[in-house]
Amino acid sequence: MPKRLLAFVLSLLIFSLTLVSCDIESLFGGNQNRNDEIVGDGTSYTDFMNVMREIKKYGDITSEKGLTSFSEYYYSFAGASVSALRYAVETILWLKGEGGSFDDFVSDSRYAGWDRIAEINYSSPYPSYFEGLLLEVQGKSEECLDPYAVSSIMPMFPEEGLDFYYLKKMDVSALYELRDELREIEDSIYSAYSPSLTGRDWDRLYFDPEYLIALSYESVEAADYDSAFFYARQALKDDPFEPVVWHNAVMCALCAGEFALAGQWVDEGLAAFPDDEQLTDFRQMFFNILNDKEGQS
Amino acid sequence: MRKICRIASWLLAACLALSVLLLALPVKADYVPKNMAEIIGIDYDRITQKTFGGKKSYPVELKLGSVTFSGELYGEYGLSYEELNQIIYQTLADKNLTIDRIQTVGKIAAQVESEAARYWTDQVVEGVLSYLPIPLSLNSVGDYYVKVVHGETDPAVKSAIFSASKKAANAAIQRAARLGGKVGLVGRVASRVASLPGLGAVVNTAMVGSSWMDGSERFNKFQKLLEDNLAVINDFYSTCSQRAAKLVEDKDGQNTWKVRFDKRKNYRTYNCTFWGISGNMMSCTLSGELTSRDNEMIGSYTGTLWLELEAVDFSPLEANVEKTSGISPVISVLYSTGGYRKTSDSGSKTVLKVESQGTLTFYLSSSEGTVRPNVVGSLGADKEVEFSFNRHLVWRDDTWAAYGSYGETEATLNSTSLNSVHMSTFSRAYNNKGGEESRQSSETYPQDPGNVLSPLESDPVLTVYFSK
Repeated sequence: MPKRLLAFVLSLLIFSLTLVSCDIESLFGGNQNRNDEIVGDGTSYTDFMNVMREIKKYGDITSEKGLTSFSEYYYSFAGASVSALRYAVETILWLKGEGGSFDDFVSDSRYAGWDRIAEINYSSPYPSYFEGLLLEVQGKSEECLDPYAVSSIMPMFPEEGLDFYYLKKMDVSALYELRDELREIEDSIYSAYSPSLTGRDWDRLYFDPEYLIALSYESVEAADYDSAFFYARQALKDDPFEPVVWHNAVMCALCAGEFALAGQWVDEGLAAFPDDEQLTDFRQMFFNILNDKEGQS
Repeated sequence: MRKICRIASWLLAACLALSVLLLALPVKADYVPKNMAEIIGIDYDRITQKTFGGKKSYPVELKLGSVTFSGELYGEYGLSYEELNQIIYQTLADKNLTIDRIQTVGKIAAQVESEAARYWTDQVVEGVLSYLPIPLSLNSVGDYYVKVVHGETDPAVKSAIFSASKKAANAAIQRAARLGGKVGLVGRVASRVASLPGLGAVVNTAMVGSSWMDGSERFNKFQKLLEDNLAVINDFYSTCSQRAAKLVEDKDGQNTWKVRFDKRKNYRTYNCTFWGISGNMMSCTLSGELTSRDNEMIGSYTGTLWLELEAVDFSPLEANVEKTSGISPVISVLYSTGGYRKTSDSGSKTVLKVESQGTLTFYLSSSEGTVRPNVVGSLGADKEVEFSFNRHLVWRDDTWAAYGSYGETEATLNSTSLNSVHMSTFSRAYNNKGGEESRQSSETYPQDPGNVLSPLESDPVLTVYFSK
């Protein structure tokens, strides 16, 4: 739920940036054609990029404070979102006849494929949204429904909506310029953070930490601790603002034998929630082990 | 019967698991701090002024004549753990914090993981979880998981999770559908899709529905909470670092690089020739410190060393005093008559104690390999000597005993000086007719102290071994 809060803040930020800039071009997508009637109701790629740069800064701040999971949340959200737009721009360029094979055309970019980009952070609505947009601009009005629907119910879906349909009408040169600018943002994000991707199939509900916790539960019951650990880690990346996500993450890390990571999460969780009883119990558990061992020696 | 067998087999399995745990846990939980003086849970890496165990040391030798003493060149840089821990406790008290508030477990957990890697993980995991303060006897990892994450052991917890927010999700979709423009399109699409087969789960588990405005406020509060919590921890470590740095600075004001000779490690003995008699044994003990004037390893050192000498075994002298360089010419007169022989030789143990001190200065120009700086000064300039020697000897000449005549000489030798001995003699000669002739003498004879104080008289040779 706090992600929705962030989404609200981001919406405000977009609005503020728009007001401050008083730049008609930015309102209508930077270099896009002013006379283009397709321009939507308030979503410009210039504002989008500014917001993602701001989120990346949150990642830098939390990283400096040693809050690895929080910094991963910010970095990965910005990374998945920017990579999604960049991949959408590349696809439109290819649809306009640029490049040879599609794989060759996107081979210079960091991440390609919606499943792969979505895994960077499942809570970003942009991979689903742009996937739907690309289907819509190709006239696949039925196929676009599923990804559109999923993105619209995500907590991070901006309240004022998304409208990047104008990308279809942008000049090729402007699209290349936009792609290069997005690649620069990706470079700044991924030089600070390297996503750990598994290549798992994309379950469209992975954006929901409660769903992921439920999957962790099922996996633990089935003694599939590696899967439980994966789901718990995704939940932490989706929403690190709820203590139960940390409880689940620490517990699944313990189940998977990832004790060092469990300890790191206990420490980081307690930094955020110093009075949380369950995290305090986890800490006490480690000290009990240590004290017991010292008593024996 | 089947039930009894099942319970028995379960108990057997539990016993086996317990025995494995008892073997595994002591090893997997073997957290070894970098230094046993560390306070468990304190992240010493966050204190910028580090400890280095208190000092760094290099062997040093000081050669005084034939005697070699062992010392060390040591530097107390950084802080000892005792000093740093004192700062940590004081900072906790000053900031009204507890050790629990600051404790971290990262290093303990990492150690548990490295040890656990050698064992059957399931057993180790259950062993680790058994340390959780849960007042229940749980049977499996899954039980622990449910208890910890969901707070209950009821299997229905799963369905409870999945059924959450159904109404809120539907309301969110409807709300999105009422919006205009492209947003409205997406919302309308979503509301249509919600009824399609396969996407019901998407809608049912959606979490949209709470107020954005309320959420914004909560988000800001959370950010502030996080900042405040981190600020407490950061402030603690920052203050510890500042105080540690200040203490180091204060210590730098003192002289922290020294050459030290520990008295307990520098007792030596040496043989010497005294008054011309060889084979006597002396002991010597060196102690003291030379301190760097520049607070750095390289530079000028000066200080006072104490040297104590003591006679250990002067029996060669005591048994052969008549052969000493000072009086042997006199005694030889006795023996020149041919018939004299010593019939008695007694006296107390020779006492020789020397306490000496001197100021030495040297300049250490390098910290590599073997360094032999030029040493200025002497240890023999200021010394107190205590010496006591006394013997009583009797000689008798029975050459003419067959004729009823004999001669006898008694000599008493005393000295409190290393350079001389006083000897008083009384000689008598008896003839066969009962006549008697006697003669007395009393005189101080110079003696050669030889090399009895050689360590004091030798030029000190200092060697520092950086490569040892």
